[in-house]
Amino acid sequence: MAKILRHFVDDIAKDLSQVFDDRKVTKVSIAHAAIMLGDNIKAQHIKKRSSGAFMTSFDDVTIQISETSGDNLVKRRYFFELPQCIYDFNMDKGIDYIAYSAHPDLKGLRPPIYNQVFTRTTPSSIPRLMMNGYEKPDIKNPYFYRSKEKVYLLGLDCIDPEDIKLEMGLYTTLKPVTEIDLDAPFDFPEETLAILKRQVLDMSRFALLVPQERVNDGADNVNEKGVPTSKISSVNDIKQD
Amino acid sequence: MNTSHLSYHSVDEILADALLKAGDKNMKYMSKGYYTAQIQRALQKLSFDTFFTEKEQSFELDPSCPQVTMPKGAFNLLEVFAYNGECKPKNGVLVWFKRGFTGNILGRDAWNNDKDFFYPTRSSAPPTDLFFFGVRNGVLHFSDSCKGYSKVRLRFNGLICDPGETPCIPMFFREAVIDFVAKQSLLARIGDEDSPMEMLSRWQYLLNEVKQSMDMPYDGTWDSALYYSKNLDTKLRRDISEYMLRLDY
Repeated sequence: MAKILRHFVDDIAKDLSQVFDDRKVTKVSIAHAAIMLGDNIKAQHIKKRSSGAFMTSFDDVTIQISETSGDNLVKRRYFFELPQCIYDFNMDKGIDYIAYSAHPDLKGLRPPIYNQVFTRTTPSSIPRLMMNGYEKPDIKNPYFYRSKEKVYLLGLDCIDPEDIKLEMGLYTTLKPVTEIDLDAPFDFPEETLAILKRQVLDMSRFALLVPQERVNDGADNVNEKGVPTSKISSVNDIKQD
Repeated sequence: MNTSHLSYHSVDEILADALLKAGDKNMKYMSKGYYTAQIQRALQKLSFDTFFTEKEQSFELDPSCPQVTMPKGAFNLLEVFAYNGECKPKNGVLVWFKRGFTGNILGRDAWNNDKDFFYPTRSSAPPTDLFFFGVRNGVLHFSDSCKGYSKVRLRFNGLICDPGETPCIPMFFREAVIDFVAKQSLLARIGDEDSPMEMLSRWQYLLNEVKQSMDMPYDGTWDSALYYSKNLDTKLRRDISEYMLRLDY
């Protein structure tokens, strides 16, 4: 993995010759493009490989319960909020696992990940689960389903939520540009940096080719200087080879 | 073949193999509860195919209403014994099955021979020294002569016990149960409209493999399980029945 995002951004800025004071492409815009395009590449990378390199573990996550209904909030149903944005893979595979411990302070117990793992379901599937005694949600057979940023838990109703601690593994996205820190570790697969660099360069070059402002003088194509003259080439163009 | 009580497998041991065979080792598609239910189904089917498990159970007999409901999972009644005190031969009598006997329900005749080819003549009352019962909708109706006994003991073919924490799956059923669970899981996933399209061909391939392994005549895991269970010596079969009985009660 690249050490920090700043290395990558500086590299792009240098290649675009945008290192002077009055540069048109700022570091923030390069970082934004890197995150936007990088999320796509990283998601494809995770889907293709069975690897824990980009799984983030969270421990001691507390369960919440609401006494009121609201927007995307179901009354008296256990849930927790996802601690970070995750990839929206098919069948909620952005959540690798969720396990619970009902007595986290007791010593000598097996870690919850050994056996107390939740199974993913959907709200519309719950009636079918209730038809079979073996499949009903209970403490030995708990389920979860996702609703936007909340994850609801089924089967733990007989345990006080304060006694439950969750452990989970999530495939988190790159941090959004609003929380960007150029000196934070850049959680990105090293071997796909070249692809990301090419895509960011293409996008930045396109941004440079767009004129700063257009003058509406009432006639088409009068001011030819305002029209981009350089050809934008496709990365898939065979002629480049 | 000979086995000990150590030769039984638990649900987890079966699942460890079945999940790999079903292509769902992380249980992403089906829950553990679903797989346990499939193990139960496999044991149920094996019970019907092999009449493997013989069970016994005692019931109180109410003189005012001498009826007993067949216990859950029982499907083939072998013997009925009415007794007082301890269940010993000297304390009771064998009770015989009488076709068409329905007891005093809804004013019906308690003693009719309408469908009996050998003794078509009806007497006014049943003899007191004959002990018999009839079965109607899973309920055993006992004759008035049985009212002198406070308990009845049923011996029947039943289902192999419900899978729980205790190892209860005989080792010669292991491969058949693994294949059954994998097959049912794959069928369910292929039939699920929400299943990812890119996985369907892979699951279909796995299903064909499992089907061949399970359903092949003579050498398939299912036929092998039937063969093993039918070739047990009687003592071992009774020992296994005893083990199963102790698991249930």
